[in-house]
Amino acid sequence: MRQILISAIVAAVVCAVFFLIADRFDDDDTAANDEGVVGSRAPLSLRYTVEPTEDSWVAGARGAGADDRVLSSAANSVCFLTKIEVKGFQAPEDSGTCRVTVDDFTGFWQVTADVPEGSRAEIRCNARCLVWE
Amino acid sequence: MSKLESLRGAASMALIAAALALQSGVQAHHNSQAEFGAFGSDTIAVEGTIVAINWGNPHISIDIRTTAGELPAGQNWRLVSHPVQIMNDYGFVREEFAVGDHVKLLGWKNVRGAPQIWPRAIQVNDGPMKSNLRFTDMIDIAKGAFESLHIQPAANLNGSPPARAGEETVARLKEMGLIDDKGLMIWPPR
Repeated sequence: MRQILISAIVAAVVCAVFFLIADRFDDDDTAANDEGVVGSRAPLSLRYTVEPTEDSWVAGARGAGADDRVLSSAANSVCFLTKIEVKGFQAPEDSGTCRVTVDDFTGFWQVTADVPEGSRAEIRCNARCLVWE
Repeated sequence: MSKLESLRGAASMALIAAALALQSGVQAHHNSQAEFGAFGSDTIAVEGTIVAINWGNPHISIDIRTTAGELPAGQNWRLVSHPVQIMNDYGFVREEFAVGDHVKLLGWKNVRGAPQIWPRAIQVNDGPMKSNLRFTDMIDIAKGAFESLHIQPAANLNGSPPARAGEETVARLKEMGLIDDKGLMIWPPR
């Protein structure tokens, strides 16, 4: 009996969450929302950002390091790499990384070019973000 | 929203992302003005407490929590600046910054709305307000506005090539007798 009750509650919660999400993403609900349904939400608008003018880049021949470009707030966006350019790979120790991460301090996405000590590679990275409002 | 519609939406999003990923930007060059505006543009005044320091290449950065000035108190902002050697040339060393220090600064906000500031000048605790950009010193000197800012000029201002301050500024500095025979900045005035 207890298991049935728990299952019913879980099922009800899952259904409620699903309908809330569906309502948020479903454009067809706009008309109903416009008619003043209590608790309704406006549909999301999506846009994407342009790349930062300057790539995130590090030239290992000049020195190791990690170079960041801040992208957009992680609260309402998701970002993805749009450029990975590598040069100067001549030895096994030459390496580099492009990554998109959330910076915990600022709460913003950032794209990072990272060249470790000993690598003479040059790495260039860039990214764009899909933003919902 | 039906399952089919959800899948169709997800597929569309994936296609958009893939299409965007295929577009690559124009080759950029290393230039702080692209992220923070022109050397001569208006600055904001901010105060804060240092919470982290990353003194490394290719750019140093200092994280602050704002306490006063033209940004709301309690916000997290990152100061980004020159490589280590250039900071040293400007008269800044790692040892003069510590977590918990109070900083006052003039700076430029990131033009894309990111919580970053490029400092035009920095004051740590009760120390002097020190310039962090010699070309803006030149612009302010040419405008006659430098003294009123009470900024200690960049340590490498004297003898610097002024071209990056702009043609108008260079012409004015020449008129003021602040450019020597080699075309380099003279400071302080002789």
